[in-house]
Amino acid sequence: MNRRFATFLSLVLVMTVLMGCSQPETVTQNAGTDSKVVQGDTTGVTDTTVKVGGFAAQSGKVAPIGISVRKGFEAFIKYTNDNGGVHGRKIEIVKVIDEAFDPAKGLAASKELVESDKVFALAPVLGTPGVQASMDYWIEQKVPVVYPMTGIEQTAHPAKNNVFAVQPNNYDEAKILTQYAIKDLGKKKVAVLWQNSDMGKQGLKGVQEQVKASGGELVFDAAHDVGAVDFATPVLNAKAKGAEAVILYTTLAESVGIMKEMQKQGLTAVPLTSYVNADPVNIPKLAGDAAVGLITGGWVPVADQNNPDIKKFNEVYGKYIVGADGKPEAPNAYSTAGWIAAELLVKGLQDAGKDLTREKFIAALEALKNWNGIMAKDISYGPGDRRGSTAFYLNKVEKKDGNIVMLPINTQPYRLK
Amino acid sequence: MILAQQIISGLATGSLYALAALGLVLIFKTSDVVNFAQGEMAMFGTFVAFTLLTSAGLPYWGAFLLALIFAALFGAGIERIVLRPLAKAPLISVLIATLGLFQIINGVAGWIWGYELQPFPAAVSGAPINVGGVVFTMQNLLNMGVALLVMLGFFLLFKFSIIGVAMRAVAENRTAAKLMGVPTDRILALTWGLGGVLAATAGILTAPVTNLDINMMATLQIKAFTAAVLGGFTSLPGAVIGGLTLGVLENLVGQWNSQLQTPFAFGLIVLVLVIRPAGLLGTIQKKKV
Repeated sequence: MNRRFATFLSLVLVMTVLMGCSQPETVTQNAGTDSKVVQGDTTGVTDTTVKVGGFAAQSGKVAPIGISVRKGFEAFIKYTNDNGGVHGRKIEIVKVIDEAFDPAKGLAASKELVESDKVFALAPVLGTPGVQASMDYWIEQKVPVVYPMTGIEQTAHPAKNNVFAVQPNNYDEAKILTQYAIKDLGKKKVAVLWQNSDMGKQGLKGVQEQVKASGGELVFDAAHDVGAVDFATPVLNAKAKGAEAVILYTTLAESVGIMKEMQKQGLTAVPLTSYVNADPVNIPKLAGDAAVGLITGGWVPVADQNNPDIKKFNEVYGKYIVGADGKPEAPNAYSTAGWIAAELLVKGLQDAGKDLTREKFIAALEALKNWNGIMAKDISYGPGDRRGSTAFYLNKVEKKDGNIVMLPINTQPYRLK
Repeated sequence: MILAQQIISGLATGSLYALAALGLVLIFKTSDVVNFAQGEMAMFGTFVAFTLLTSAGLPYWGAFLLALIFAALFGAGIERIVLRPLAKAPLISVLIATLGLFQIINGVAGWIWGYELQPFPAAVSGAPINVGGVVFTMQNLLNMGVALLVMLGFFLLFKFSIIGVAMRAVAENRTAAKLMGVPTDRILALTWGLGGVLAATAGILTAPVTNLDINMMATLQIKAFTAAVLGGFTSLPGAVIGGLTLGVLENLVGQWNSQLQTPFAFGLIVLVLVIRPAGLLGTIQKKKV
């Protein structure tokens, strides 16, 4: 059996070596494609078409998100094409690659789209692993990337000429939550319970910087692992240090666990958390009473079904995305994100003019100031600014008529002062 | 006061590790197989209970009982369909097969029940109990009680019952046991059935804490492996002691450095194993010639 195991191991080794070799090969083969025409980069552009493509998990546990993102993106692109396209060009979605939320596959997908398919721009791109793995490659290739869907600050800090973030990143949002706790709620003693990941660390950094700016004090911070279940230690310490506000920079399951532990240990500080957890269905469902008082971030105003934009979104989406039962599908938060990516792409193509180049496209997006599309709202860029949305719409969990509900706090954008 | 609370909370979390570890040890003890799919069997059984509770509207204990029956058949079925044909295959193939089961059960569960977190009711509810400033819930007590009871039950089973003796015989030497007239196939199916029951019990008691989703056991199962190794992997009391130790250790280290909580706890375990390779309560198996 030992010998068999050795054979197995050597097989694995051989496979690893082979796979390791195949990647640099592709790079050298395609290294020549970078030579460009002098007046601008027209990769992926013809008189009648412009090619785009991206990646989003279509299998595995992130598939429900990835599939929705793709559908939202496709819906607005099909709608645009059916209305004549942009400057006579139809937008061709070459492919949305299933990278299965895997960093290596995400980078491979970026390379495939840029080098083999020669797309004009990358969209939609979903997921922290793929975005993180691809970032250096994107910068090197100067390919426009429209709305990398992740909360990591690398999408916006430092600004990259060709990468246009839309949703706020952990760092910027943590500053907003801290400012709100200190300035608006008057809770000067802040604690942070952060996930031992990029998300948590960037959130912690934002809080650390903002407590100083807003005149508060960071009394306690502690990390926890993804999937942790025992929050007694951090909650007890936050309580012992007299925390008045506890910022939870972590994902849904852990946030629920922390709020339940706070309730159990009688820690009455105000919990605040990222827009990632601004889930009006799951927060009350999972945390129940323990969630009452929670403040969540948010970067789109809560949907008002009578709003004409929302009506139009539902109508167009339902027209192009039909379910297995033949009925129009209803969009969700993730298909909205896909839709926003498509809207921003189309806006850039329109503003770039008839003679499309990547440079003109980038300049067009850079010129956007508080731009509102159908679902894309309040998006701004500028020289050295690639953040996209900096407006926040905070929510609060309350008990109302015996039900636990998440209600909007502000209807006008809340910003960093 | 923080220290007392950390120990109590650590014991509560540790009982979850122990519950998950017991099934691993039971199956390993009898069949020499490290069942990587144990956590997924727990998750699947819990989803069955969840469906019985929500869709079929059964009362809690009814759903619990039916889920355990399902889990027993599920475990025995896995033994019959997957493990028995592999009886003569090298151990590594069997391990890979259980890894395959892990993926299959996880994927099928996602396909049936989706990927959203679901709340799962606690077996016992009520306000937390406060004893001199140390807070714990009824569910915490129940988890620990069940872990200890299961441990004791199986200890007695192995020691005194005829089935237990047969199980030990199968573990010791399958061929010899067969020659002695022990129905080894049935004993193995029974072990896996019991392993399934233990898995579902662990899942149902864990789900109120983690919430229910297809990856609910991912982290816990690694901790359970650690607990089992720490306890000696062949010892049921070892699994419980290993689980409780790990739970408390994590909290104590967390007080000192939260980022090093997991690495340091595991570091200590490696240290224990270096000093005592068989684990806390394990015995070193002498290879028979």
